[in-house]
Amino acid sequence: MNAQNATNEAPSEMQILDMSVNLGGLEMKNPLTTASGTFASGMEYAEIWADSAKVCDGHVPSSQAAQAPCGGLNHRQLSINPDTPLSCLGAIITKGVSLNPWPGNDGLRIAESANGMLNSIGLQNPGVEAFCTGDLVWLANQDVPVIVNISGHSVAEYMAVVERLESEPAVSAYEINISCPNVDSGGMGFGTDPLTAAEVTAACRTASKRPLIIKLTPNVTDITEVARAVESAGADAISLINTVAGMAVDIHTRRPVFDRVVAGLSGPAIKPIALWAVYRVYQAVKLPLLGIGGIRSAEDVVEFMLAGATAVAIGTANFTDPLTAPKILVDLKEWCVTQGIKNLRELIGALR
Amino acid sequence: MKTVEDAIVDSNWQLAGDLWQLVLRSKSIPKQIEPGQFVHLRLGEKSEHILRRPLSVHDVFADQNGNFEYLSLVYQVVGEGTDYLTTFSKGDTLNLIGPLGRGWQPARGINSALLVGGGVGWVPLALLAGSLTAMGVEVHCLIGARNAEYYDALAGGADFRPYALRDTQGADTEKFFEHVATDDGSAGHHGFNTDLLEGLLAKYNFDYVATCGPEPMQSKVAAAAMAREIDCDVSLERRMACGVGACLSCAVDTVDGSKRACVDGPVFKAQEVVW
Ligand SMILES: Cc1cc2nc3c(=O)[nH]c(=O)nc-3n(C[C@H](O)[C@H](O)[C@H](O)COP(=O)(O)OP(=O)(O)OC[C@H]3O[C@@H](n4cnc5c(N)ncnc54)[C@H](O)[C@@H]3O)c2cc1C
Ligand SMILES: Cc1cc2nc3c(=O)[nH]c(=O)nc-3n(C[C@H](O)[C@H](O)[C@H](O)COP(=O)(O)O)c2cc1C
Ligand code: FES
Repeated sequence: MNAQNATNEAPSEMQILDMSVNLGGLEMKNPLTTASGTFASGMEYAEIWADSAKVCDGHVPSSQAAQAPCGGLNHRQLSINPDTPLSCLGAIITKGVSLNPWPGNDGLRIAESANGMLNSIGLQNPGVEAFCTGDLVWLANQDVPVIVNISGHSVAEYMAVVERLESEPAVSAYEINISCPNVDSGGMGFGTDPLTAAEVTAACRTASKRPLIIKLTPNVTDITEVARAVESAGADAISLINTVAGMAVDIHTRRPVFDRVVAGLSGPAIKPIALWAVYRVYQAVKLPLLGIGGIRSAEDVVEFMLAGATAVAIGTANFTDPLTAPKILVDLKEWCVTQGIKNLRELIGALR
Repeated sequence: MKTVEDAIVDSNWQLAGDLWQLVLRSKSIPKQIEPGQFVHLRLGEKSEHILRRPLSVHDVFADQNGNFEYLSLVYQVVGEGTDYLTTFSKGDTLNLIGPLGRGWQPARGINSALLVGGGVGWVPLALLAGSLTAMGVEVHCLIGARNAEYYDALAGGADFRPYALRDTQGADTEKFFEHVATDDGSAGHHGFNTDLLEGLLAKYNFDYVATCGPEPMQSKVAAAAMAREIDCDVSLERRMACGVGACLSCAVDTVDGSKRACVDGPVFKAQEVVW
C-alpha cells in the first residue's frame, strides 16, 4: 500500500470521527490550538508548514518510510492546505497584545533547563493598534478562529484592549493573561489574588460578549480559589497553566542569568504540574478548560483531556519541532481510530 | 523555502581541541543556502535538550552526481548541547530547520572585500569568501585564532584555498589573501586580529567589510569600517528558541527599534546596530 492509498482510505475513517469541541462558546473543529507567545500570529509557522508539507508529503511509499525526510511521519501525511496552513488547527492564540507597545526585557531572554526552558521575553509587542492593522489583517484570511491573548498593567488597560478589538470581526475570543511572571506591574500580580483576578475578569466581561478565557498561573497555593473567583466574575473558560516561576544561575559570573532574576519555566518539565492544575480545577468549576504545559504528543493531549481539558495548546514544543501541531493531529486521529473513539468529547474528564 | 528535514550524518570529527566539523546530507537545504545563513539543529529526538542549536552553514558541496546535498557545519564545544553533538556519528539522523536568516549583503559590483572572523566566528564567512572569489572580487581574510592548530582547523589548512575557490576554475587566485593573528603567536601576528585592521584598511581600497565573532571585536571592526565610510555587515549571535521569528528570544537593538536576529539577521548593516 502506498501513501496515496492511505490517504484515499482515510476520509471514510475520519467522517465518523468527530473531533470538534466547544470552548466556552468558541466552536473548534478539533481541540488543538497554540500557546500564546510561542507562535506569534502564526505567519512564520504557516510558511514552514506549507513548505514542509511539500517535502514531507512527497509520495513516499511506506516501504521507504524510514528514508522519508520528515522524522516521525512514516507513511502518514500532514493534512495541510497550502493556502491556509493554519486552518488545520481548532484555533490560534496570538502573542500577548497590550494597549501600548511594550519593549520586552533587556539581557538574555531564554535559557534551557532539563526538559524545559526558561523565558524572560517580557511580553514584547507593538500594541493593539499595530496588531489590528498588521497581523490581524493577515489572520482574517486564514480560515481559523483567532483567540487574542491580552496583557495589561492595569484593569483599565485590559479593558481598553478588549474594547479596541470588539470592532474587529476577525477576532473570535479573548484569552486574558493574568499570569505572566515576566513583567513587574500587572501580569502575574493579577492572577495570584482571587479578588484582582475577578476584577479583571468582570471588567473584560462588561466590554464583550465574545468567549472570555482567563489564563491562570500555577504560582499560587490554591489555583482552584482563583478559578472559582473568575468563574463567578463571568469567565467562559479557563486556560491553565502559564509558566512556572523559576531562575537560572551563571556560575562563571556568579550572577543570575536573567536581568529580572525570575523567569518562566515551560516545556515537558512542567507537564505534571499542568495536569494536576487541570485535574483540580476541573473538579472545582463548571467552565471548560484549555490545558497548556509541556504538551508534545497525541498521548499528552489525551492525558489532558482525560484530566478535564476541553481543548489544549501547544507551546514550547513548537520550538523543538515546528511541525508538532500538525503531527499531533495526524497521530490523534489515528489513535482515535485504533481505540474506536467516534467522538473526542467523550474523553473530557473521563478519568476513571 | 524553509523546511524541517531529517538530515543524515555523513561525518562528525574533531578538527582541533574543541572544534568539530559535522557534515550532513540533506535533500532540500544545501542547494538553497546563501552565505551567512544558518540551520537550527535538533539534538536528537529523545534528548532532554528541547531547544535546537543555531549553527552557521560553513560550506555546501555536491556528491559525484553533482547534487548539492551536503552541508558542513563547524562547531565549538562550549556547553552541554554542543558536547552532546559530538556523540553523533555516520548514519545517525539529525533534524534541521533551514535555510534560516538573512545572510551577507555585499553590494553588486564590489571590487575588494575584507572578511574579519574571530575564532569560530570565521565559519559563516568561509562560504562568503568562496562566493566572492567566484565573482572575481579581491578577497582579504583576516582571521583571529587561538593558535596555529586552530587557525588551520578553521581555515581548512592546506585545503582552505581549494574549497574557498572550489567553483572557480581559472579564478584569479592572485586576488585571494589571508591575514592571520593568533593568541600565542604560533601563526601570523601575535595578538588580536583587530591589531592588523587599520593597516589593512589603509593599504587596500576595500569597498565591503564583513565580520563575525565576539561582539567587542565586531564592534571595533564596524567602527573602523564606518569611520572610512565602507559598507559593513556584522553577524550577531543571540540565543534562539524558535529560530524562525515567532518567539522574540533573539532581540537585537537597532536604530529602527527591536529586530529579530533569526529572521531580520543574523547579518545586519553595521550602522543599523545599537552597540
Ligand atoms: C545564527 C547563529 C549561528 C551560529 N553559528 C555557529 C557556528 O557556526 N559554530 C559554532 O560553534 N557556534 C555557532 N553559534 C553559537 C552556537 O549556537 C552556540 O555555541 C550553541 O548553541 C551552544 O550550545 P550549548 O548547548 O553547547 O551551550 P549552552 O551554553 O549549554 O547552551 C545553553 C543555551 O544557550 C544557547 N547558547 C549558548 N551560547 C550561545 C551562543 N553563543 N549563541 C546562541 N545561542 C547560544 C544554546 O543554544 C542553548 O539554548 C551560532 C549562533 C547563532 C545565533
Ligand atoms: C517564549 C514564550 C513566550 C510566551 N509568551 C506568552 C504571552 O505572551 N502570553 C501568555 O499568556 N503566555 C505566554 N507564554 C506562556 C505559554 O503560552 C504557555 O502557557 C507556557 O509556555 C506553558 O506551555 P508549554 O509548556 O507548552 O510551553 C509564553 C511562553 C514562552 C515559552
Ligand atoms: S529565535 Fe524566535 S524570534 Fe528569533
